Amino acid sequence: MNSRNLDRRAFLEYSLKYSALLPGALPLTGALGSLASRSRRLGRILVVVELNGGNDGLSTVVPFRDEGYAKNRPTLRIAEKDLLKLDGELGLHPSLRSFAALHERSELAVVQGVGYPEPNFSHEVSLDTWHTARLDRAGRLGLGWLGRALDETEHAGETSRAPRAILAGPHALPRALRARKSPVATVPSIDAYLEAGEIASDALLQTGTESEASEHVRRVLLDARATAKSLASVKPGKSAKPYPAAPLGTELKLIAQLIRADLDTSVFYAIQNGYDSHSLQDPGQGSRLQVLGDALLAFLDEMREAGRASSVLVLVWSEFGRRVQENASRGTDHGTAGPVFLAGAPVRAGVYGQTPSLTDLDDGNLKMTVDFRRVYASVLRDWMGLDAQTVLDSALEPLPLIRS
Amino acid sequence: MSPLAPYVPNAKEPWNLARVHHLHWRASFGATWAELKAGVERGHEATLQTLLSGTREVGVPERANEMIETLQHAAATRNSRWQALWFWRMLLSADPLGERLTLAWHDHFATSFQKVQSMAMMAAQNATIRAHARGSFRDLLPACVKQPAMLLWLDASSNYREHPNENLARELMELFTLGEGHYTEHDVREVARALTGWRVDHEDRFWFYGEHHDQGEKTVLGHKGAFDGDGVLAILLDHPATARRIAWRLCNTFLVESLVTADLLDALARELVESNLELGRAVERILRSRVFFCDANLHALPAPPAVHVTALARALECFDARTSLLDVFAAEAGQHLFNPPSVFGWPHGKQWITTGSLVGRTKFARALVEGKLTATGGDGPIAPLLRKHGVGTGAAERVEFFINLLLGRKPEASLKAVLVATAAADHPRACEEMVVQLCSSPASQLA
Repeated sequence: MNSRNLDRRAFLEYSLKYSALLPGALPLTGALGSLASRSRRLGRILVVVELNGGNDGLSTVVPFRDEGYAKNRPTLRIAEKDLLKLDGELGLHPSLRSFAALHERSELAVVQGVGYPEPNFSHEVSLDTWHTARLDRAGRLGLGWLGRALDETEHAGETSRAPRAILAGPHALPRALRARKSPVATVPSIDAYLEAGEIASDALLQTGTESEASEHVRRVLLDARATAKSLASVKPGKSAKPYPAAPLGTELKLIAQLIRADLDTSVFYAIQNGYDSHSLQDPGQGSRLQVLGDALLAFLDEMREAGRASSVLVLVWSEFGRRVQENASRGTDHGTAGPVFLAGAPVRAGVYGQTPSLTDLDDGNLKMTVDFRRVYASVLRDWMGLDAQTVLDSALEPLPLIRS
Repeated sequence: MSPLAPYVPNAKEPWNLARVHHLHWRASFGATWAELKAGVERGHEATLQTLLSGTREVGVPERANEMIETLQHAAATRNSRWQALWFWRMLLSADPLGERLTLAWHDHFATSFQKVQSMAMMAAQNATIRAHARGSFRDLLPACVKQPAMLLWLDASSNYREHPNENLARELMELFTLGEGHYTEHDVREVARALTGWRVDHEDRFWFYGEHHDQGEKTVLGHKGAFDGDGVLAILLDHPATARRIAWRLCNTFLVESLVTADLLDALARELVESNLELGRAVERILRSRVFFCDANLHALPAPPAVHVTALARALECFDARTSLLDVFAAEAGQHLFNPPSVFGWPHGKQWITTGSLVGRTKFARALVEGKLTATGGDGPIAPLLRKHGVGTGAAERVEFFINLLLGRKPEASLKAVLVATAAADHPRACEEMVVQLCSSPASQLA
């Protein structure tokens, strides 16, 4: 059976599951239609991969025709013959063979020149900006864009406190997932929860109402217990896919396992560290990109085999690109714009945005051509079915990145 | 009234168990029942003096310093042993405040063995921080930024005159001294030039290589001159934003965020400038302040996981805890020593509380109470503790004892009811189960 049939079957099973909730038969019109379409959106899953440290976009998607490239990158330059060409001007890093395969399959969208106005070169400020999609100081220290999106989504399981978003791996919770009311979980591993036995009794969860601080702990404790309950239903993984033996491989494998278990979680988050390449950028960046590509390909293949290809979208981003001119340590310092990737069957494949010029710079840095909030707006509107303007507090035009 | 006005016990804010407990859990690594009782009896000044002078006695082994020497040699080869050794110090050192400050500066000058790849360098940095933790920031800053661990972490071990890399220059201003917003991108580039020539030599020592240094004129924060690294450090140490950032770091270590007002930071920053950036003095000012002992600062802040696990072990008098396991559980609760998540260090305040970290804390409580973390093991620390402190067999009495020991205050009625019901169950280990429940409760995650 080919994957298309599997997808179709999964869709039918899904529709049946939800149509059972509807009074009457299937003609989906009016209120019923919108309920059904919301249900369908609830089945949609967003997987975010954060490349932490500031990935060098110029050696990820190389503008090999730009005369500024060889000039500014005397030692880091990748020879044109080694690049995996996307078109007549851009080529992927040779380690991104798996991205090239996704490109071949029309499952990869590359958005060039993504950044934000008045770029800040601090990791912290730039991460906070991307995590919150807010450019002002107060907004940058507030809730995350995904947390706000989940808060906007009506959800039947609200009372169960089953997690709406899950961070996979042993990381601190990224600000992007900070929500006002939606339960969000950090899952270093499934075993970490299962080994704990009972997390807290009902009676214990009635306590902790004495202060705002204790209420917060109580709420997270409730979420922890609900998460443990969800995770207890996950069957042991039997994926035959070769995930790379690196943290991101483990995390995407875990995410695949959780998606297959139908947890009612619509956002998953993974973080790949180590992109802050101030010195000896090569070969470290290449090996990280290799892990990224191979892990993503294994993940999307597993989703396809599980009949989930059409319901999973992956977003890959980094807090900034790097300085155009390399430094004397064979590395690159903090820069501005870089590529963002969307991957998966729902993607309208292709290259978007204008590739920034390497000869027309702003104090040595690329001029961004696409505001990152436009990518978010596409994900929010065309994937999560939300009003992007409400979530982002900005009317920036979405890009046509997702198949309708 | 000055935001740093001293605390004087009074009818509204009396010196009592709650405040003794608060001082030990917020500025030390928890306390035994004997220490809590002694604190109430000896009074505010004497209790504070013991902490400030680093002369804790309970549980501190005789010849502790010699033991540390021995353990250091034993720890020399394997990574996890250095974490274990640090937990041993936190649990048993006579100077727990010194260890809290060492932990706070490890967070400030965050480096990770993941990139440094040398535990010997991490340990050397740790020793340097400990030596200067109460000293002047004028000594701490240069000592920390010239550590090979820091130079490797921020890519300054290969810093050449042409196109210097900016990593150390940026973090030096953003994280270690001024804070974001107090410098320009031009300053970053100029400071990077000034830092060229700083290297790690073949024997893993700091070394200044003159031939790689850019000797030209630089403009740093408005100052013009042919600065080298030391010249830049001098400018940064004299900058008022540095004093304010140190004040912020110290205040956030000891106070809940809502109490750290601009007025308070200004006042402490002013005193830091006047005292030549003496850290011990600033810490003493905070710990003596009314704001430190005010109601809003009590039982309101999640302790960092390293503090939380050590304090529970200490309260239950698990002096023979396998400190390598304290390390494992602290890591599961979100804090792996010598391995902070990024250059910004660890999360703060309520960000410590995630579903994953609470699962880690719950597992720790159970393992500790079941005796799985001590060398002597057995049935765990609860029964011996009850015997030692003459606690009877009644459920209410036992609950009272552990609430006083672990929370140091009157709990919510609902929590007390849950615990009494658990302790009264007809089960040989009902009391152990009650302590696990208490340690897993929302109230116990705040200190």
